Amino acid sequence: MDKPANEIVIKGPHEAFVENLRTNTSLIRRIVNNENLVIENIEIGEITKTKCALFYIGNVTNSDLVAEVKYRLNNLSVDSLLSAGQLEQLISDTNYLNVPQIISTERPDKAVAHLLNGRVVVIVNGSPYALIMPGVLKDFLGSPDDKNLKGIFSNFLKGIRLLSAFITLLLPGLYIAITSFHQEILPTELLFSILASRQNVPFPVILEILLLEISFELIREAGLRVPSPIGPTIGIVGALVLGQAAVSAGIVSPILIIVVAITGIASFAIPDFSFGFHLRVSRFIFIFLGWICGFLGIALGFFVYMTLMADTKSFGVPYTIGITPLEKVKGNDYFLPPIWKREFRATFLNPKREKKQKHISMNWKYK
Amino acid sequence: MTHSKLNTVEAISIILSIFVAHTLVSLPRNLIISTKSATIINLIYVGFIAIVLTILIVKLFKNFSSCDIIDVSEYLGGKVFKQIIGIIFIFYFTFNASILLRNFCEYLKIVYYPMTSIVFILLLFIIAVCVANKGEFETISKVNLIVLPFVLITVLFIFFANTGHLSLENIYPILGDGFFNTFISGLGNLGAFGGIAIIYFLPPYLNNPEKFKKISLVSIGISIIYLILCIATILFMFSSIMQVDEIMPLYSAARYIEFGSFFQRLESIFILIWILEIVCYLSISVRISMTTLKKIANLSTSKPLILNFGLLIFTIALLPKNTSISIFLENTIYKYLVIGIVLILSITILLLANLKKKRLGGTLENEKIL
Amino acid sequence: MKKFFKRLLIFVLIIVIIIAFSSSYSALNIDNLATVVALGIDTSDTNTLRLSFQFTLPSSVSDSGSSEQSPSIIYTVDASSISSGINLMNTYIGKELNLSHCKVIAFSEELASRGISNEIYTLINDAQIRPSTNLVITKTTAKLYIENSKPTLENLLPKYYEVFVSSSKSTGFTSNATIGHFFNSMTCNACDSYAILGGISSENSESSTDINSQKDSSGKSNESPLANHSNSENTGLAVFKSDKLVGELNSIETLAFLLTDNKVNGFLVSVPDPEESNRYIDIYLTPITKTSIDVKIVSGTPYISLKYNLSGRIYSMKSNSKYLNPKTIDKISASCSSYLQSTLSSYLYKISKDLKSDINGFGKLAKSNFLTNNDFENYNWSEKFKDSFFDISVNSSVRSGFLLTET
Repeated sequence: MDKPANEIVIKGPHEAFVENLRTNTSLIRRIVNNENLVIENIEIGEITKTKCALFYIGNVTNSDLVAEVKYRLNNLSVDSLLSAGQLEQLISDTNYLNVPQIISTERPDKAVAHLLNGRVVVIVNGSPYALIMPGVLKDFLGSPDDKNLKGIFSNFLKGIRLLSAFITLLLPGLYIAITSFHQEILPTELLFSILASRQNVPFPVILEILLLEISFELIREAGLRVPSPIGPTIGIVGALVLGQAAVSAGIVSPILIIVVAITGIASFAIPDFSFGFHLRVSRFIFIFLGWICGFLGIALGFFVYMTLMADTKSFGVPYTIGITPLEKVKGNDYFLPPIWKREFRATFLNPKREKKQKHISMNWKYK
Repeated sequence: MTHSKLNTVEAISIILSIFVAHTLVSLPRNLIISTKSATIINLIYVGFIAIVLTILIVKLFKNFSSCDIIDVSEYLGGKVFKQIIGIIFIFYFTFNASILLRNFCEYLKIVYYPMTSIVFILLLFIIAVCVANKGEFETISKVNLIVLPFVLITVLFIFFANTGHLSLENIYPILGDGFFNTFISGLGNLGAFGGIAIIYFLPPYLNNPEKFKKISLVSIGISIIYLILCIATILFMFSSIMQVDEIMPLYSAARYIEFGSFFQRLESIFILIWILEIVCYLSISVRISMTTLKKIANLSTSKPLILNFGLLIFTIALLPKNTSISIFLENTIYKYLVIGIVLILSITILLLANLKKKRLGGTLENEKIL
Repeated sequence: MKKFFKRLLIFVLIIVIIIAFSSSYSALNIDNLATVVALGIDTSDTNTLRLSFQFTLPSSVSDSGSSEQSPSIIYTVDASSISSGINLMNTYIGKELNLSHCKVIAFSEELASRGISNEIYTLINDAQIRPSTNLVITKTTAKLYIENSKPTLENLLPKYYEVFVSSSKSTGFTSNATIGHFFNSMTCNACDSYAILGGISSENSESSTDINSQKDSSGKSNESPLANHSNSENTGLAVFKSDKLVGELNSIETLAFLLTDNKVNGFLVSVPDPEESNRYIDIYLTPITKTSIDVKIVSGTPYISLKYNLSGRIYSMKSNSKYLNPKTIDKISASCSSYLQSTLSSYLYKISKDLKSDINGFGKLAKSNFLTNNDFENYNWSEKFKDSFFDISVNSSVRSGFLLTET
């Protein structure tokens, strides 16, 4: 057993799945500790016959959902299945945006929390990741730590994450839109400092921004690939060479470096790796739209983005549920209520058992 | 027939959105022109009439639950009549959407894209609408529900951020151009309530049809308050609004907003939000026209019609030769269309259909259409 | 094959849209713009207008820490209209002029008294000009005024232009007059417009001030009491009747204007000391309530009653003063009220009788006496305003001093 490497929390348990399927099942069984936990074994892959385990709570999870997941798992004609990542792609609905529709986690506590809420978990042998389905937008902006903190703090963090999602997606696009089409929105002093910082830069803004964004992605990718002892070198080279030298050489403007850096930091604040990836890729579209036609492009692009997002469904569940306003049906909110108010399981999962705690859960207080 | 259903709030937001989109361009100024300083009083009066009409419409629909105006007209006058009414409504929606789009783009071009031909600005909108309409109606209504609150906030914001510039005395002379002008010929301002048109098409989409009355009344109520707020902002801000026309009065008002020396010139953010609103409006119009056409032509699916309607709107939007024609179309023709089609024609159809039902006893026929 | 054509179509569309928007892109990109900070409009000998554009160099801004002043560059061009002037300027400097950050538009007095409605309409029609741009009427040529607008306490020129008007809130010697407001009241039938009165203070003007007053608050632009200081200054207001300059207000009259318009937060007045002749007491006054204005039409002429409600604190102190015993304080209050009353009434009768210009917009209030627009049009407010009768009541109560209560 090891500590989770990629999903670090402060107040939660520090336990991670391992590659061995049986260890993982026992991990989950140990936490759920109830006779209604059902584990079904499925073999996928004509050659490898990879063992997969399907978890659900018999008297909670909607049977249609279980049936749908089983149907998808049983109808895969592949020779081999080597990882949970592959399975995730094989069984999720297609969508234009390439947003993740299945949560993948290395934390047993997260998997169990979703399991108890009426979702289905699949674990592939040889892969230290559990797949939780269906996954909707708000899940990818949530961290397992949220429930360990007091409501107000976790909601603050959730707000920050929502903001960071917008920043990752739109900030570079807005920057280029403003500098190319809408400079009047800048306060005059800011305009002059942008102008001053751009004075020796030979490139147009679009090239400059692409140059920086791509080198940022390069640093990130390279930092991932190098052996860990020389990992910090990448940081030094990236920060010093690209940050300092590029500015003093007059290749990029310092303000743009700030913009790209904020975007980068914001993208790291997204808890889910694949969703962060989706945002990082999509931001290039918005950079492009902002460059072509400013706010018009951004607005229309964002509209189309929103419709595609709202049109997406994961295992029949509308993807944006909880984010689009006024769908306040019991337990679907993006923001968490105080703990004594979390009576209901999310209604979009249509669980067999609706309530997860009594109307008055803190009996010691109100008796 | 499988419709995706709308819940109450989504339905309200759709009606509002149709209504709000027109106020962003030149509707408020248009109203002020016709009734001058008495516009607010006139609106309270006209709003009251609009509420009465809405109650009437809801009452008339009571016997035809889950039917829209097309079904009702089929019941009244058979297939041909249904097709005529359908075509009239398709014309109504596409025409209004195109002209609104044209004017909005015209202003967008003046302010932000001085060198770009308007064709391409229109084209971008059309592309966005076509892509957005690939989804369900529910999708559009969801996005609309996200966008609309922001639009309402912008208008509230414009009002409150400009309080320093408002001079309340502009409400005087209290009767504007006289009693007749305010209360009799001022009835023309009913044309502002174009959102009512959606009410006729709403019943089949509703999640719980028993809330139809609530939906209609709430949305009309909110639109009256909203409209009064818009008019108040503009009337109180520009003492000279009767003499001088500025493009997009709300936009002009937004240009005055200033918070210290840092937060100035915020209007492009408003434009950003308003573009979203306009494109929502377009999508809803296209969607309603598509389903109507599907209904009158007995098509099995309406999806392939997207491109046709997109192109139709694009072409109509390009028809006016210059701004004066398109503004005339938007201001005058729009008003008459709303009063003629939405208010007079449709209510007559509903009345007649109800009469017919009463005469026939209304048992067998009702089953048939359902 | 179908898929290929679809992709080709999308590709072609993207290219076409890029090309279509690229011209707007190059027209609006910040790299291609020359940002005008101030615009001066003068009469010219050779052509109709002489336009002066003030730019500031961005490089001066970036020098962090150094207190170097931003150099301003002024280009002047003679042209037949504003737009052709801008056009000519574009060719001279090789960059597109952008007026969206223009903070000040200055008209020379000469031009303003000739009527500036055409220029104002043109400027308002320009999408780049902000309605919140300040409008200054200069006693000298507009060019000279702009040239001498040097920020002394700031590095940044645009910041200086932004800050100078905000002082009006606490001094009351000038007002924040914007082009948007000017335009609104110019086209309105019940009010008249005003602008900031600008000028240059120079050594020789110092002598001229000696003659007309001994009090600080009666000056206006070009008559500054500051010595050894050549700089632009903004004191007083320029009063317009429709689009023509008809008169000027000095600082105390401007204060009266602002007080009537509820646009001042607090101000300092020197009132005669009731105890001692030839002495003045400085009192800092703040309005308690908004000035209540009531306009009635009595037998065809406007009857305007104004109620001012102020509270004050004594600024100037001397030894042995018993300002704060009840009797003296009442006397000071009375003296203050009567001083203000005379100031206000002289201001009000000046604008109505001499200038015939309703810059406070009493006309808008008068509208409540009429039922319809026609009645109001027929009444012809702008003609009748000169016959107005003002009933002024000032209630100023002096509360205390500041830190000293008795000496």
